[in-house]
Amino acid sequence: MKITLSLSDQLVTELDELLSFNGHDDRNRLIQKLLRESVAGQKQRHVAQLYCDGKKTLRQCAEILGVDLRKMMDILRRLNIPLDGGRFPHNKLALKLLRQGAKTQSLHSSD
Amino acid sequence: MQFVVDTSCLILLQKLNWLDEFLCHAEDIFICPPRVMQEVKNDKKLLKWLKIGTVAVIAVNKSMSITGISETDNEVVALATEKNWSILSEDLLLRQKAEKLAIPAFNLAELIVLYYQYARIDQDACINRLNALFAKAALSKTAYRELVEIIKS
Repeated sequence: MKITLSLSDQLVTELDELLSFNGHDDRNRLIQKLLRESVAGQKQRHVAQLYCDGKKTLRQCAEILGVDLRKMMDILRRLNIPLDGGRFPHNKLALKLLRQGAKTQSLHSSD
Repeated sequence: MQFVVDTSCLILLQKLNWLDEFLCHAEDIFICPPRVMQEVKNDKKLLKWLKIGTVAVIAVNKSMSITGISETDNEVVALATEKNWSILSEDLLLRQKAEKLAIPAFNLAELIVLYYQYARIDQDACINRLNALFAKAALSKTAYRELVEIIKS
C-alpha cells in the first residue's frame, strides 16, 4: 500500500542525516523502519497502561503483543513499570495476613 | 505454607536465581494447574529447573469463569478456591480478582516478608531481597515502603 506523507523540510533534513549516519540511501526503507519501531513502542506502552490500570492480566497483555509471559515481563521492566503497577496493595487479604504476622496466619491447611 | 503458584512468580524467581531457595522448603507445598505447567514447560529456563525442582500439578475439578481474565488465570483461581489455599502470582489483576473471591494472593515481595515472619530469613536478608526486587523493577517504591514498614513493625 502506498501512503503519501507531508513532512517538514526540517524533518526531511533530519531523516537524511540519519540515513548518512547509518550508511544507507533508501529514505523509504528508513521511514518504514522508524514507523515500525514507533508503532511497536506505542503498542507496548498502551498495553502496559492497560496492565497498570488493572484492565488486563499479564497473559492478556502478552497475547495482545504476541509475546510470551517472560517477554511481557521484560517489556514492563524496560518501560520501567513495576509488576505491581505502582500500586499497593492488590490483595487486601494478603496484606491483612502480613500485618497480622506469621503467628496468626492460616497458610497451613491444618490450621 | 501452601500456595497455588502462577508462572509469573516462577519466572521472576528464576530471573533472580531464587527458585531453589524459595520453592524447596520441605514444609511448603507449591502446586499449579495444568495450564500453568504447560507454560512452565514452554519456557526453556523454567523447564530446565523443573528437572530438579518440584511443583505438583493438580487438575481443577470445577472450572471457573471469571470475566476479564484468561483461562489460565481462571484455572489458578479455581484451584486456589478448591484447595482453600493462597495464590502466589505477580499479576496485578489476577490478585485483585482473587480478593473478590476472598482468596489471599501474595506476590514474591510479600512471600519474602512471610519468610521473614516465619523466621526463615533474618531482617537484613529480607530487606536485601526486597532491594533486589526493587532493582529488577518487580516492586514499586510504594509497595517497597509498605513492606519495609511491616518488617520493622
